[in-house]
Amino acid sequence: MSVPPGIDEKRLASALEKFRRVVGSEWVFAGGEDLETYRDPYSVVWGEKEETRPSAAVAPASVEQVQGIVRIANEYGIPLYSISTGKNLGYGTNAPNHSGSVILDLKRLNRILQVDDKRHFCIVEPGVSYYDLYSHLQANGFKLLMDLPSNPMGGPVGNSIDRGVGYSANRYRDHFSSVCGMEVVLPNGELLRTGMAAVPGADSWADFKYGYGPYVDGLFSQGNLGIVTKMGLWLMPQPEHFLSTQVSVPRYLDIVPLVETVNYLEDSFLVGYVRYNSPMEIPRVQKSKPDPDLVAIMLQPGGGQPEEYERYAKQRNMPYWTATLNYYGPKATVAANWAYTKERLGNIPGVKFSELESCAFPLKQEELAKVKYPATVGVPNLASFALGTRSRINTEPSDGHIWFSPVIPRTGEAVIQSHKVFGEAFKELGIPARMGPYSGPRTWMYRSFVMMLDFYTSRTDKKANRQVYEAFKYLVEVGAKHGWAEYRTAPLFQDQVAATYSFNNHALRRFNETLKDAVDPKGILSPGRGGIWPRHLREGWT
Amino acid sequence: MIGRRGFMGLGLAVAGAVPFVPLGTLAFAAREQPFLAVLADRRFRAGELFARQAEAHGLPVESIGDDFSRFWAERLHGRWQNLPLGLAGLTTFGPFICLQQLARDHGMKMLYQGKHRTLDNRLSEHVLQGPAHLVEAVSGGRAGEWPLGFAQSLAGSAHAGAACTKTLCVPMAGTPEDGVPLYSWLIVPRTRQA
Repeated sequence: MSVPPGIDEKRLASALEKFRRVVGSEWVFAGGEDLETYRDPYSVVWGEKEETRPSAAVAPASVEQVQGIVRIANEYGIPLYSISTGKNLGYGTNAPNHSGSVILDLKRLNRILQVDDKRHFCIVEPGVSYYDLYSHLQANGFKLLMDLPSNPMGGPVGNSIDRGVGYSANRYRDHFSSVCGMEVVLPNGELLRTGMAAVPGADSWADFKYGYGPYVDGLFSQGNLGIVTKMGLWLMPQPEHFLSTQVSVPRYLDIVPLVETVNYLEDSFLVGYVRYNSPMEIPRVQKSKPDPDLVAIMLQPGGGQPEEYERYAKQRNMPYWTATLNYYGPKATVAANWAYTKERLGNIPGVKFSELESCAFPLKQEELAKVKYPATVGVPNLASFALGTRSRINTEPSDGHIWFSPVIPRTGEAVIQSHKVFGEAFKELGIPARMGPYSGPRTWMYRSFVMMLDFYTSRTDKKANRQVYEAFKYLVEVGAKHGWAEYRTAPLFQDQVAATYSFNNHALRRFNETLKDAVDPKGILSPGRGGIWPRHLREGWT
Repeated sequence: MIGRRGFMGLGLAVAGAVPFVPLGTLAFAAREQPFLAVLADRRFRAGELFARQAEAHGLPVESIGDDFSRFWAERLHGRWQNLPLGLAGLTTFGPFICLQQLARDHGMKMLYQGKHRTLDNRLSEHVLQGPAHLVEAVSGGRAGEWPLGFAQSLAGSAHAGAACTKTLCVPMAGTPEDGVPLYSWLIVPRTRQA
């Protein structure tokens, strides 16, 4: 049996026996095939000594059982690592931050406690998946649209508190910003509720997020101060109509006025969602046959220059950039907003406009089958797992991926600068650039940009994995030098990423550690999550 | 290599742990009993070969591409919530990894998995992990016939052989699958530790 550092086998065995008395023997996994499932299939250190593995797992069925487990863990000093649906692929999945931790698997807490389609919210437990919630909304005829991540096998609680993102309108894409009220089990086993949920008998749990006094919900997001066991989440009213359009511009530098105007439109709630792309970004879909001329440009050290891509696009009568703009609302409003968009963007020379999809809610089955991105209309879909096609750019087959995802300012100028900086970085690394002057920013965090790229991982090629690992770490450092830091990352990189938020001698981390020491003195909850370690595990602590 | 006679009358067996469901006793197609589906991506030659063999044995083959969302939402999600059923497939990465993850939630595991890809030098690489009989059945046979070997192996008995891993590179047969890796896999109920 593997054990947590500093804990002997006898102590762990004794704690597990007490866990069994709380949840039942069948829900404590101390080995065998059940425990083997708690591994990160996308780990870049799969099979290596750095891969973190649990010592056991326990799956409670109620909040009271969670409290019982936490109290026992506290008594014995056993580190727990809580997961909700355990599907955080690309960010650690269901493996612990700290090897030897006992996984606290919350999948059995899977009730949808309340849905209200007049006030547009739900209150759910952590084991509810997006598929579960979608099925519930459909089965009960609730006129609500969920904002979905690209991986709907996950759940709204886990995704939101890891600050996951989606594809529909405005703030709904920033999942944590739609969280309203939580119930949390603290490291001493006590139950806390936040916001209006802290008022006994309040029916406004999911109406008003702040309650009174300090707003503490953020402490339980990407952190390790408590285990969220219930969460309120704002949902979008099902709109009457959905319109997806495309704006195309011919030149590289057109990204500047394009972004400036779309920012205005989105911040004024006239546009629901924007997705920036270039047709010269080799599509990551199966069976693609990229043009060898384009590949030749991309495979140059640093990924090629904008002028080369402009020439390529001009020769083929292709735009340089496209912006897909989605609109939600009554048909007349949607049409008016689109007309206004064209008016505002019309002064970019050579701009072109087209409509891609237009449909009324509720969508008919045949319409749904044609929607290019079902997540944009609130329908869970797994097509994004088609990433990873082997190609001239990605010469190694993927068994998974990790995301490099630095936040940059929401300007065209920042996008351009990121192309230069990361292009140089890839040149330094001596590997094909995975980002170039064709890379559009991601707009999930609707008031900022994320310049995302994926690195592919392998179950068998340790050398390739090591190269990815080193490249990722290097890019994090390069990004930080320019004030661009990750918004989310896998456990392997959490310490490094946390260290990039270094203002005033890492005051933020020190503040988080102060809270950790006060609230979780034994350091039993998810040690290392968010780069926050308990006192007894910190390096260099004296 | 198993000849044509070897294919006749074979059902699809779930090679797995307790509860064991011998597929010879399962009904396919019309009867109302738990089903065990075989997913095949017929866009690829290997997928088409596999699907035809499976169909030849009267197995319910579902054709899927990269996105099997509808199959999951409409066919499998509800079934797995009530009864863990074995599932096999020859697909691209997306369905493979998603089902591996989803199986975990329903007391299932991926007993066997194979990754098959063409290398630049006209070799095919196959990385196979699972019970020895499955691995040998897929890796035996002539170049290009591994989909047949896989379909055949599913008709074998349970618990046949300890787990093993095998990697082999063989000359490629036929045209390359555009460099797209394919995955052969088998999902079965997990063994609970006593």
